[in-house]
Amino acid sequence: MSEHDAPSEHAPVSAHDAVAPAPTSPDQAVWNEEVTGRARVQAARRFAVLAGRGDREGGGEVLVAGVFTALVAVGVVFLAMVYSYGYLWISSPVWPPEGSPSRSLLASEVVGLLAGAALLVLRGRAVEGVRRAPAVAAALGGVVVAAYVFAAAGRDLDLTVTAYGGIVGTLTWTVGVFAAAALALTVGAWWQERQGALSIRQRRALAAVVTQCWWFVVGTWTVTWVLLFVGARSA
Amino acid sequence: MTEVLAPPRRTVHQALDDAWSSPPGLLGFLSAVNHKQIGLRFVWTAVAFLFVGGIEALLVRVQLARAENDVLSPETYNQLFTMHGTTMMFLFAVPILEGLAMYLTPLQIGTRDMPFPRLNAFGYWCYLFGGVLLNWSLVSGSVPDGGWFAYTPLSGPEFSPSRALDFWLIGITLVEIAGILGAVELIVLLLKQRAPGMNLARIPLFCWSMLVMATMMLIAFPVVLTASLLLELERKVGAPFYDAAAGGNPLLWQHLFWIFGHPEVYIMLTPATGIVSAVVAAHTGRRIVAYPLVVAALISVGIASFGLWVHHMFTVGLPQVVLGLFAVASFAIAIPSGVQIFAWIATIWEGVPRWRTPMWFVMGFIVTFVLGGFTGVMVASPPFDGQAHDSYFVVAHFHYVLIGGVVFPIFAGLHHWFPTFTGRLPNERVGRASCGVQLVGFHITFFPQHLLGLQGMARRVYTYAEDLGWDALNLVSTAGSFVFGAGVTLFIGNLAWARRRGPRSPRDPWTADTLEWSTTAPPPSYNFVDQPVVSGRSPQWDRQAPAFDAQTLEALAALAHPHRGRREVVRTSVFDARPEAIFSLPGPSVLPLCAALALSVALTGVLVDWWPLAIGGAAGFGWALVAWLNGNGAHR
Repeated sequence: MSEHDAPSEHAPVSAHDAVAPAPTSPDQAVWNEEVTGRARVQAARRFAVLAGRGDREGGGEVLVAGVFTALVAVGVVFLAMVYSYGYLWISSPVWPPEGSPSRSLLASEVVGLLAGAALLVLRGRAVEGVRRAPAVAAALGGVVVAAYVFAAAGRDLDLTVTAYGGIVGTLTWTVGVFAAAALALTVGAWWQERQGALSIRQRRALAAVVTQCWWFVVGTWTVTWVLLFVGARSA
Repeated sequence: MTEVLAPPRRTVHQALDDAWSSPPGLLGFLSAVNHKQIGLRFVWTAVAFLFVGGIEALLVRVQLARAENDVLSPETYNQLFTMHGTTMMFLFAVPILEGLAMYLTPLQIGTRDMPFPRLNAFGYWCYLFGGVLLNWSLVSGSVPDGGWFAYTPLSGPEFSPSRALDFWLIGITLVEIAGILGAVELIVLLLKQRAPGMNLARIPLFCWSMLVMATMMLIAFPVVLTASLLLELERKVGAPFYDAAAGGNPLLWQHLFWIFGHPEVYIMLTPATGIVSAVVAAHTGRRIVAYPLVVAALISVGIASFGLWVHHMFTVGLPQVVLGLFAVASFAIAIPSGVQIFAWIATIWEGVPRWRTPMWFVMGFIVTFVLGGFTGVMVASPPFDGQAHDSYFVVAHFHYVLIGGVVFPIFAGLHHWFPTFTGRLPNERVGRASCGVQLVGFHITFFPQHLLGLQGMARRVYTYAEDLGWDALNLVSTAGSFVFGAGVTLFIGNLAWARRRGPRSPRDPWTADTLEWSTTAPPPSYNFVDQPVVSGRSPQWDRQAPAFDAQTLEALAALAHPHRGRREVVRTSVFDARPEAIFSLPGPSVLPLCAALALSVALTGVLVDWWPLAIGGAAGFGWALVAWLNGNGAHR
C-alpha cells in the first residue's frame, strides 16, 4: 500500500453491501420501482452473465464514443475554416479574385469522394472476417490521398498572394490531412488485425472507429467540394 | 448462486492497490496516469501560474499608481498586461477547473479513473510545456505584447515582426490541445462511466457543470486553434487572411477569437457555479433547491454563450440589426444566471448554513458576481458600450465577473475539497481571515476602476497625465491590489501549511452528500473497493436499497477482485446508467510524456524557424503515437 494506508472498509452504498430483495419468480424477480421493463431486466441480466463469465472487453463502445467526441472537435476546426471562407467571401468585393479552380481539380476530388464511399461499404465486410478487405480499404485510402495531392499540386493558386488562395489552400490541405490521418488509422487497424491479437469485439470497435473517421473525411470533402464549386461559380 | 469464500479485506485492498497504483520513484512520477495525480498536477501548476500572473498584475498596478509614472517602460507595460491576461485566462482559470474536474468527477460519479488515462496525462504535459513555452518568452526577451486577445493587424507580421507573438500562438495552441483532450475525457466519462443507478436526474450538479463546461470547450477551443493556425500561417508563410490589402479582413480574427472568447468566460463560470452548488449543499445540509431548473440553467447558459460574441465588437461598425440581436441575447443570459443565484439563496434560506471558510467565499462570490452581472447588463447595451468600450469600466466589470465569479468559487472549492486531496484540514480561522482580506482588497482594487472608466481612463495605456485627476482613485486601486494579493497569499499559505501540518481530517468532515466523501481522505489509488451503486440524487444521504437484482450486484462485486491485475471499471448506459459491461483501462506509461515533449519540440522548431528540429519533433511525435496505439496497456 502507498500513503493511503487505511482505506475505510468500503463505500456506504456499494455492490458488496447492498441487500437486494430476494427474487420471487424467475421473470418478475428482483426489481424495485426504479428498474422496470423487460428490456432493462434483460440488459441487466446480460451484463451479469457477461461479467460473471469473465467477459470484460466492454471498452470498445467507450473508444468509439471517445473518437466520435474527438471528431466533433476536429469538425469544429473544419467549420471554423468554412466560416472563415464564408466571411472572407461576403466581405470581399470580388470573389474569387483569381478565377475558379480547374476542372481537373474538381474531377479528382470526385474520384476521391467515390473512393471514400467505397471504403465505407467495405468496412462491414472487413469486420466480418474478409481478410483482404482492410487491405483494399487501405489501398483505396491511398487513392484518396494521392488524388488529393495531385489535385492540390495541380492547382493554380498561391497561398501567399490573396486571401482567397490562402483560405482555399488551407481548407483543402486540411481535408487532405484528415484523409491522411484516416488512412494511417486504417493501416494501423489492418496491422493490428494481422497481429491476430484482437477479439471479435475489439475488431468491431476498431472497425467502427475507422468507419467514423472515413465518414468524417467524406463529409468534410463533400462540404469543401461544394464550397469550392459554388464559390468558383459565383464569379 | 454459488457461495464463494470472500478473501480477507486487507488482501482485497492490496490486490487493488497493486493493480491501480503508480510505480515508485521518478519513473512513476513521469509515467503516472491516475486521474487524482494528474488532476492535482493541473491544480498546483495552475496555482503556480496564478502567482506569476499575480505578480505581473501588481507590477501593472504599481505603474498606474500615480500619473506619468516611469517604473515600467511602455513596452514592458504592454508585455506585462498581455502576459497577465494570457496567464490568468489560459494558464490559471481553465486549467485549475480542469484539474478539479479530473480529480473529483470520477469520484463523484463512483468510478475509478478517466476513460483514457494516458490521454489525460498527455493533456497535462501539453499544458505544462505550453505554459513553460509562453513564459520562456520572458527569459528570451521576446515577450508577447499584443494583449491576451492578440488583435490583428497589430499581431500580424507587419506590426509584430519579432517572435513574441509566435511564442503566444504556439504556447496557446499546446494549452488548447490539452483543454480539448480534457473535454473529450470528461464527456465520455460522464456519459459512459457513471455508477450504476446514477441516471441523468441524479448526476451531482458539480458534474453537470463539468459536462456543460467540457461540451463548451469541445466547441469553443477548436475555433481559437483555427484562428491561431491562420495567424501563424500569415506570420510564417505569408497567407494574408487578416491583411485587408490582399483581400483578407482583420475583423475575421475578432470574430473567430470572440466565438471562442465569450464562451471561454462561461467555460470558467459554469464549473465555478458547480463548485458553489456542491459547497452550498454540503455546508447547509440541504439539497440544492430546484435541481431541474439549475440543470436547465446550466445547459441554457452553455448554449446561449455561443450567441454573444458580437457584444465584444459593438464598436467595430456592424449593422444595427446585428447589434440589436446580440444585445438581446446578452441581456437574456442574465435569466439562467439569476435562476442559479436564487436557487443558492433559497437553499441557504431553507438549510442550516454552517459558516465555514467555503461558505464565506460563496457569499463573496454571490455579492461580487451579482455586481459584475449588473455592469455586464450595462455594457450589453450598445449605446452605453460605445461610451465604456476600452475604458477601465470594462476592466472593472470583467474582474468582478472573473475574480468574483470564478476565483472565489475556486478558493471555496480548494478549501472544501482539501481534506479529500490531502487528508488534512486547513486552518479555519486563517481561511476566514484570508477570505475577508481578499474581499476587502478586491473591492478596494476594482470598484474605483468603474469610476475611472466613466471618467474616461482608457485601458492598455501605460500612464496618464497629471491634470486628469485620476491619481487618487488609481492609488487606492493599487493599494487594494496589494491587500488582495496578501489575501491570496494567505489563503495559499494556509493550504501549504495544512498540507504537512494540518490536523488529520475525518473521512467526511462536512457531512456532504456526494460519493467522494464515501471513501477515505485522500482516496486510495482505486478510489472505491466496491463499485458504488446509487439510488438517489445525494448518495451519502440516501440510504435506500440499490435498484439492482442480486445477480447484477454480484457481477458488480467482481470489480473488487482485479482480473489478472487489470484496472477494471464498469461501463453504464448514457441515460439511466444501467450496467452494460466491464472493461480495462491502460496503466502507467511514459509515452504520453514522450508524445507531448516531441510535439512541443516540433512546435518550437516552427517557432524558431529551425526546420530540422521541427521535423525531428514531428517524427518523434509520430513514433510515440504508433508505440502508444500499438499496445495500449489495458490488457496484461
